[in-house]
Amino acid sequence: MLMFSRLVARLALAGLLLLAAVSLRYACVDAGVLTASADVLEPSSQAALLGAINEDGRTGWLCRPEQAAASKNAMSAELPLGLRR
Amino acid sequence: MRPRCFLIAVAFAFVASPAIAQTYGASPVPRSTSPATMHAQAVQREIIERFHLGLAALDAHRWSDASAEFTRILALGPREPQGSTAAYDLGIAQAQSAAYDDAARSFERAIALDPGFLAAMANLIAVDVSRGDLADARAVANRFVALAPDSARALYARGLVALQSGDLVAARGDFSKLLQNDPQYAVAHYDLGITEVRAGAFSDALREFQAALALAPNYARARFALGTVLLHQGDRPAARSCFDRAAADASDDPALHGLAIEMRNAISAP
Repeated sequence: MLMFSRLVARLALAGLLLLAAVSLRYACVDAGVLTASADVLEPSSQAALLGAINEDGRTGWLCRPEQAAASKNAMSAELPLGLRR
Repeated sequence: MRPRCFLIAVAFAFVASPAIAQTYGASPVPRSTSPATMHAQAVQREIIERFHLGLAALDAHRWSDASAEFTRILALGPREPQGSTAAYDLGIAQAQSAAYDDAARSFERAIALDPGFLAAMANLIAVDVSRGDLADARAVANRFVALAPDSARALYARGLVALQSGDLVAARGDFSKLLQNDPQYAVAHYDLGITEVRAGAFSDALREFQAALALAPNYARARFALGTVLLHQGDRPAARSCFDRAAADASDDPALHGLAIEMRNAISAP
């Protein structure tokens, strides 16, 4: 009876150790993954430069760069649209 | 007989004069033999011609040739708006050659000549970020927003600079206002999500990344970010699914594609 209870205790201890090892490995992998993924989360890229302007200057109604700079709408403002990095 | 001819001539002149008045001809050229006037006309012609050459060079990506033309225009002392415009175009040519310090000086010159020049401010911020001068980028962005409070470019640029400087409150404010003005702009949701991640507000970040993906389902970077937040919240299957989809959507971005695969595999193989 004593032998049997010792065996059960040893088996239980081995099981606990195995469970702890598996949990530790999961935790280590998650920690590594979380750190790696958090490091690569970067904001979107800067917008490209606005284009050149001819000799009539920025005040003409055809001056697209100045219109883009003032636009309330992201697409008209020539901002990145997010489908690429 | 003569009075009748006279009446006909008067009637014709009365009918035809409005049409004649609307006939456009060449602008009258001031006729003068004064050396000063002739010199000014020659300089103005040279400025216009060099603008055409410089713009053609920019179109052809011949940055050095473009820089030479706009530099020469500035040396000729052009009046406004040609002075600020030449400085602005010179800044573009220099920025494209990665001469960021020179480009910043040219855009600053354009703004000094024309303090309301929004396009020059937008480009100066981009150049400042490229040369790592976040303080100046932020100062210019503040002026840009003050002049054009609803400008998407101004809010986007200032938000990014604030985020890079660690000012999460300012970044949140600018991206939120950008979204108020243009709720369909997925990238602003993404950047707001990044701001929330850095602030540790993962639930808010989750909402923003989901909003970005609702607007742009193939937005690989937002999908990757969503996976990261899900992983942080312990939802491993959903995170794995996000990295899987991000890898598929990032086929044109090898770095992100590889990273998403690595993350997916790390989750599935403990």
